[in-house]
Amino acid sequence: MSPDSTAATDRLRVALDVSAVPERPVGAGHYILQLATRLSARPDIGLVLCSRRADRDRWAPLVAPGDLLAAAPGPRPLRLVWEQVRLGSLVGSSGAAVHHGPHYTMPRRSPVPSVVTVHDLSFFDAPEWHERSKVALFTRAIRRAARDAAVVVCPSRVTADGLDRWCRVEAEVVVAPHGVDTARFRPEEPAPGADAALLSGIDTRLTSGRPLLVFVGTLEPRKDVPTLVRAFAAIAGRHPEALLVLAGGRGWGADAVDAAVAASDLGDRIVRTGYVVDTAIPALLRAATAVVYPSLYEGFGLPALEALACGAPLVTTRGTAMEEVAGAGALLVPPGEVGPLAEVLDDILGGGGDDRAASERRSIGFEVAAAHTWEASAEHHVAAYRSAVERGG
Amino acid sequence: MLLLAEQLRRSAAGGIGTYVLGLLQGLDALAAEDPDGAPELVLTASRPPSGSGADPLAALGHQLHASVLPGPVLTRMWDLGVVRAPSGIDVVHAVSVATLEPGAAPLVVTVHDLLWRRIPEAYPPRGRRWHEAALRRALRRADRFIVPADVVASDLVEAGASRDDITVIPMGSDHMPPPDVPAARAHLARLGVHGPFLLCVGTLEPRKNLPRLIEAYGRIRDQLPEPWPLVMVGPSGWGEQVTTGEGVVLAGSVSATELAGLYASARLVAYVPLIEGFGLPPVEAMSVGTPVVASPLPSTGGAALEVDPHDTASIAAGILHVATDEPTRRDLVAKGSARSDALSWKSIARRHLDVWDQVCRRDPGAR
Repeated sequence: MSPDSTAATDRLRVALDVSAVPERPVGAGHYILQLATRLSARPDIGLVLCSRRADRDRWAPLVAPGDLLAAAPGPRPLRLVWEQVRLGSLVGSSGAAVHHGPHYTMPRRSPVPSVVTVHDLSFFDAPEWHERSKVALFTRAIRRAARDAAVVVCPSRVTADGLDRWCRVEAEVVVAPHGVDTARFRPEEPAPGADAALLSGIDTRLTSGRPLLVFVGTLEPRKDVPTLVRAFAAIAGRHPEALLVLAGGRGWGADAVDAAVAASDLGDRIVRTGYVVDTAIPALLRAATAVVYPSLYEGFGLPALEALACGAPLVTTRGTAMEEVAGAGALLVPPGEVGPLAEVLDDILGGGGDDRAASERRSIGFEVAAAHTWEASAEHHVAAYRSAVERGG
Repeated sequence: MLLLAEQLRRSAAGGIGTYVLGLLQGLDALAAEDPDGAPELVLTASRPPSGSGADPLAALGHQLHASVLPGPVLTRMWDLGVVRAPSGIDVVHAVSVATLEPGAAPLVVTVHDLLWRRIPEAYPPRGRRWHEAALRRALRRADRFIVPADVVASDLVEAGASRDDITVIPMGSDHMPPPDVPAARAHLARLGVHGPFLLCVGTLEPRKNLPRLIEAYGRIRDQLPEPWPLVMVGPSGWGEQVTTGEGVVLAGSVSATELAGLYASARLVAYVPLIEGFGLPPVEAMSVGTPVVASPLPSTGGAALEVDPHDTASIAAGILHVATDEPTRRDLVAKGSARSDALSWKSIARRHLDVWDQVCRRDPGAR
């Protein structure tokens, strides 16, 4: 046997279902894209990708020609049926030793063991944040994954620990935190003046030198932006220069944000950028006096980690995945409460905080960011795949 | 005075929900008599249910401190100590072992039972783990406990509480709305029940001892003047499905007015759980003048015909006797109304006020 073919047979063949990744990936889609990229670069993994038929071009560069199964239909209902009736046998004939469903679901009948990623438990904890049809679909999927998958992957301990509050858990549960791309999310701008050029294109107030409190994320109920607006309104009079920047597309909770902004009577000091392109986000985080991520609930909370990687002071919520990830690198406030958040913002804007403590938080933040690479995340996943193969179907 | 009212956000608020509403009813009655002596009440709970319409808790007529967090998330934040009582509160009252960090205020916790310790097999493992962890937090956080019966006080002492910190206050009985007998009758008619019937109320779960009750009923059905059906009201809990017998009718969940109507029109109420911290259904039945056959329970106060819940023959004999013997029925109805009169929510609320006063005096200012 030649050395090459030995290497090829030593590779663990993994079938990763990338059919759920939308055109413009955010959140879970971003995770799947990063994971596929890192796995494809590993010599010990033989990656097989299952994508939508129409999405072939995006994935083809990542795998050997025969290892892209671009067979999934486009519309979600059809795709979920396809996953149940067709994907299992496709995975079997691809020679994969393990299947990974990176977004809650797995095929019903699969000849190989399954690994399933459960991102968060909000379908159980807060069904009112989701469309009703999705709640039924995903609570069922999560229950099945907990029972029938060989391994369930969660991005945070808080999610992993919560699983058995809602489900009978027979799978092995592993925590594989997400990564942050520190080549993009870093304290230095890529070239002198590059950040200012990007930011002034969004809103000239962003480069006016005024203190900026920055929120990045979709305006949806769980992000609790209204509480941030109220906290800002409580202290805005004491810091007349400061601006609040809400950078994110309108989700279905945006009306509550509109109402809070209207009630604050601070429309001229609240900069609403709408959806911000990926490339501008690091610039925005670097320009921030503080980044505020007041989310009530996240599976991981990547924007918090991205803020730390840029060296931005971070205010986020206690008792959440963000506390677990950012730890002592962030200022923590109870979720959903205006008073404590207002106090922290007042300290930051007034320079009343402890400088030494702030610089200590900043260096802890860099350590946290450095420890959270997508390579490390991929490593956790590979361990999960090997464990799944050992445990069998 | 901050009252944790999260239980009222649940779709099935159960016995603890009844307790909260009864307590509020009693406090409102006291406030109507003596507006100056009444405590200023603040209710706290998770976010209101989505959709339009007013918050149902706001309709209770007290200040409401509603979180933006959904119920499961808020209770976890309470458990973790992340979300605490707001400042400016003199006493915090937790209506069950789900507590929060009270901050500077003293905390009073009502413990309804510790049955998950006595009969672990009657609880799902997850529920057991949560109850145990919640109890440990309550023991750490609370200044005073209220329990509905001596037996619960003993269990709580065994769990680590000091007897001096425990006050026994029973539940009230006068919380039911006026009985809607026509609606109850209509509900029964849909199930094929027309004449007299026997009633059993409670969640269908293992500790309610329903298999023995059904077997006992089966033994004496032929000896009743007519084959009166046994109507079982209550939501399905967990555990094995109840196997019904001939004449047993599962009526599911009903509205409060229908339930009162069912109590009022039943020939008797049979309530034979193996164990119970208090046991509300007997006093509810007594309050509308219906005789009760029951296990030895703290709630009955000698006003029910007592049977041995482990002995099917004893249950069967008790049911037959109360269903058919007129002097016994008259006696039970009289004793029952005396018992339920003694348990007015107004008197129960006054005893709570006394406890709140005591803890405030014991802890002047911050702890």
